[in-house]
Amino acid sequence: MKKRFASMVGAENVSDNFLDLEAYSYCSSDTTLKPNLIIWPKSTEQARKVLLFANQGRTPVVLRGAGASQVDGCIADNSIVMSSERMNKILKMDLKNKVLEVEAGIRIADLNNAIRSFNIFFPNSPFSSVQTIGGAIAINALSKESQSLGRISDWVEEIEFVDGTGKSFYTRKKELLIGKEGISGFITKAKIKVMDLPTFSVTVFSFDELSDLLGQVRILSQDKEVYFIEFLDKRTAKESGFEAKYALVVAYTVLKGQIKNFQEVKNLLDKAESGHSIIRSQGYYYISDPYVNLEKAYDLIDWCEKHDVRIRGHIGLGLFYAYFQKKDKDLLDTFRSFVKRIEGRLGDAFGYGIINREFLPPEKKKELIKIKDDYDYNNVLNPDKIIKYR
Amino acid sequence: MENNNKNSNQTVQNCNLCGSCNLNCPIYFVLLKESAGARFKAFLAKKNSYKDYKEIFFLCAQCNACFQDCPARICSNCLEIRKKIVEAGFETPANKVMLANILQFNNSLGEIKKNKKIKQYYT
Repeated sequence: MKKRFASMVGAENVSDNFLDLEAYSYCSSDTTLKPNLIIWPKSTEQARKVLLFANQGRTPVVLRGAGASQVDGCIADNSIVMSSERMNKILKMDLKNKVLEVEAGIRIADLNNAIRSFNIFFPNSPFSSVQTIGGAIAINALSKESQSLGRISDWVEEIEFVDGTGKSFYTRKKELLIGKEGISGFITKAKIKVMDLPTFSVTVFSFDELSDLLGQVRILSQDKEVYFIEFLDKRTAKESGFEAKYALVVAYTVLKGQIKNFQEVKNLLDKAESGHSIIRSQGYYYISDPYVNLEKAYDLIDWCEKHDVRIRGHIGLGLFYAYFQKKDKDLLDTFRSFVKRIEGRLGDAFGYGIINREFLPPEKKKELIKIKDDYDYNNVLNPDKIIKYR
Repeated sequence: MENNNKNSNQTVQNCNLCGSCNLNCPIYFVLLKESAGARFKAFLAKKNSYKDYKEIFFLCAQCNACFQDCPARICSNCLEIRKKIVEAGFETPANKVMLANILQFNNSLGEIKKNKKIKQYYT
């Protein structure tokens, strides 16, 4: 089989070397599942040939970008792993209309580094800094910018992809791919919108009581000039250099925040961003992405504090990151039940994959089955991810 | 070179394989495959199975970009592991050639000849 694929993509872009199989057996979760073969297509045509052949042999293919899935979304036993790592180019830049055409394997951080000199950026900072554009489209994750700029789906215009039967499409029907976690096709290119680098002003609010904090969030949520609201629990706020109280770091797109000086704003936002690093460096190992209604945020934060679970997040959206210590692995199950009980869900930042599959809304499940029927009826692509098909 | 261990209060067991270390890894950037990146070294060091994958630890420029990018400030101690591997008698083909060249020609590339093609080694 390796020889056959090598004839399609070139010998240097296929591997069954034990080193590579081991390296593609993990992602950013605790699970390891070893594939049979790794393929790195470098063009849509190569991806098309691979999927056409895989479909004929009903060989399962798992799609992978940077391998940053926290929900086992890009690993599987006895499968082919098809990675977009080598499709990482910016193909076209239309600076006038602020539209870029990029290959799916480019990492968002690399993309933003590359275009920063044109004073533009792609306004979607995913939880994982290494996430690729293809991966981000597949998950359609919420990010802190989502409060004012929407999800990634609002920033993608067109997508080129190869479906499970080996047909390639260039489509404006983004809904076929966005948030489908690779079960309908392998994304090869995308036309994305970018924007000018914004100017911020920032205000930091500190609260002793959670109820006061949530009251302030309610007021801020009505404000159209708020770019994002970051929440830090008391410990994280203190360790990040704020007061030892609950902290809200509010960024405005206009100069109405208390801090307006460019350098001071940058320092403050860096301090707020450092929360993740600070929590992780204290040995908090497992991360979950609860999404709750603002009315239930009190219960969520309270539960986390009682169980020594650190919490921070984009409170304006209702999206949080809960950090668990390694010894508290069992607590994760209790937490999942708790999130269900307060009518929250997991998966809005990390995707559903296998781990968060139980939180998939039933209407989305039906939609996924319909798409699978149309674009991958042999269930070749990402089998058993998000939904159990057939 | 700065000793990573002095700055790191975390063991590699606390690495949750987030992959931030791959972000600026120069080796990953050139070879564009997971097995070349810093995360795979952390994965192997975490599993303590580096003896089976010795050559991977020589695919490292010791630039410390992985440590700088790691949110948990974890160092996979690549240099320490490499030292152990060498002490256990393993040498990569590239190392052998370099040592022989240094002894014979006083430089790691060997005899310098016009248009001489230099063999490339990954490890």
